[in-house]
Amino acid sequence: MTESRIVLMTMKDRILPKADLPRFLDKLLEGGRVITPVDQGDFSLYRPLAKGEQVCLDYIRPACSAKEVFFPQNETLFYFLERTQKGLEHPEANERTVVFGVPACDLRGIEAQDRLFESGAFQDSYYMKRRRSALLIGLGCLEPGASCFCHYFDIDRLAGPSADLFFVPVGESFYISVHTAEGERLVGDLPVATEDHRAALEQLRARPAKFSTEKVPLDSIVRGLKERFEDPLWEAVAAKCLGCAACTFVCPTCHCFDITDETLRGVGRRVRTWDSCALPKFTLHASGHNPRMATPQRMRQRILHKFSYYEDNQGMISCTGCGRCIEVCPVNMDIREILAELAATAVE
Amino acid sequence: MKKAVKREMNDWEKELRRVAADLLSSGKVAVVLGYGRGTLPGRARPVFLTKAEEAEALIYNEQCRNNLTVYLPRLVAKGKVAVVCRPDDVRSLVGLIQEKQIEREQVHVIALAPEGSPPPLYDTLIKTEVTLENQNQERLEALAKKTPEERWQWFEGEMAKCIRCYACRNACPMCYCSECFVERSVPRWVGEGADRSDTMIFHIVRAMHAAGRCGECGACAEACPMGVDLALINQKINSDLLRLFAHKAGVDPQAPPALATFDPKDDNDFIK
Repeated sequence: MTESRIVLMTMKDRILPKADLPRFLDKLLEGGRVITPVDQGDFSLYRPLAKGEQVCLDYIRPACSAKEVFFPQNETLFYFLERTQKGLEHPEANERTVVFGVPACDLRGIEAQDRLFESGAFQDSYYMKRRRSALLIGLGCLEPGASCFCHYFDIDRLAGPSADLFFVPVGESFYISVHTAEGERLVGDLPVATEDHRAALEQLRARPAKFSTEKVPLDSIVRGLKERFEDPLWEAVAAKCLGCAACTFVCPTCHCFDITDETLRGVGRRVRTWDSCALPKFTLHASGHNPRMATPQRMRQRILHKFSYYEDNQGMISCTGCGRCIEVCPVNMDIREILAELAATAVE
Repeated sequence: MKKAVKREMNDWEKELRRVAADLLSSGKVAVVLGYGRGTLPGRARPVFLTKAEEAEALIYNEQCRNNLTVYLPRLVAKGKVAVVCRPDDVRSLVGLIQEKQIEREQVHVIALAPEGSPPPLYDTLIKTEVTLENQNQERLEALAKKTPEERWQWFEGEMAKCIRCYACRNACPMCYCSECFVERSVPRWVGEGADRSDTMIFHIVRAMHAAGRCGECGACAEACPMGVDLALINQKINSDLLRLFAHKAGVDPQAPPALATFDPKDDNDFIK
């Protein structure tokens, strides 16, 4: 990291004509796996790109977040022999991966996951192995969607300092900011950005963004949240919730997981699977007791985890304003409304 | 001058609001369960109204994609509920009554249907020009024409999209089990997560549970964030039920679900 940052001083911004993107990605493919947004019909998803396959940048962001690249929905932690309980080697080889086309909201999401799995009280070797063998290429977002609210969290949609490279579509080209030496290696042979390019980027940056909702006073919401544990508001906001896990599964920061042992013909495997506070089995004790018995308590957990506990434990709010939860909710529950309600009823 | 952006209200929405306001102001119902404007373009969403003046929030158009009867079992405990039903939602409602999840007297059914096709049960019927395409005969026939191998391939492809969020199950009025088999841990019937075979087990069991009970409202497919073609799977099974048992779910409040009856006079000619 330090070495990368020193090199940064001498690294120059680059330019890639949009028409040359397929060739650029093909070249990346020669060095290992490339994960990009790939078209699925009505939406895109982060998927390994096949040679010659088209990257899809038509949607404001992929329908599921980038978390699955480093923290997959299911993963085998290790195998064991049932009879002897002897552990067997973890099978997965980690090849070098480049994740291309990550918007700033998802970069923020990865930052949140990094804090938990890498720099928190525990280091998760499975996560770290994947994360460390990956380079991130961010992608500037020109027009926020109807569900977007990243401005609540002061996310700069045209910058991603945590990525190795950050592409911003400017006219017929991508303006590439280079942040690490590893990133520089990928774009070193591209033409250097000129003053004109930089001016065009600044012009883009000066354009006001059109978000569909007003920013809410987050500080006061976060400050008061813990006092509102027993607030009747949770009952009211949860009334329409159907109790599915769609919001949490598409979320870039939701990271709760469950661990189970599965055995088949004498060979067992320990599996880690995404869990969700929205589902009834979440935090169900062996005794049958569940401290979060009903939807309002589960809803409260979701909000407090993101806006209060994460701030306490990891030093940041774990919502990025990507708006996916709003889009996938079958009954259009909108976290922006919950935040507005919390702000409107805040007691200072 | 301020530009008028208000959409002209159609007759059925006017009538719907009047009916809802009447029911609430007269105290005939405690809650009106209807559709209101959502927070995203092109999205309507469920609204729960308790005061007559809130009736102005009600809308009814092609964007109304939820089956509101899903809320009934938990809402009727609080008093009589008026529920806005699209034509096929009434079929779920009939199913919920047949299966004793709600009682007929606990609900006031406000059905909206095109002229000439009244639903099997209602308290207030409102004529509408809104038509919903939740069933597709052509696609059903195309699926039936496929060879078993082709059908399996199609099914595998659909299953590969699933992220096991259970939005389909939770949006479905007929999935009212207080504990779903996927959530049982003693014994554990099916693995968690998006493992392909586990996903298939979940969907196959759900489809079998819904066979002859599914009202074909399409709420499962609408709820799916990944675009799994669940409506077609259920429609196909229902078409089999119609062919084998001459049974269509939720059209006759007196007719119990085909797979929940036994008739000793049945000639059992399916046993070869």
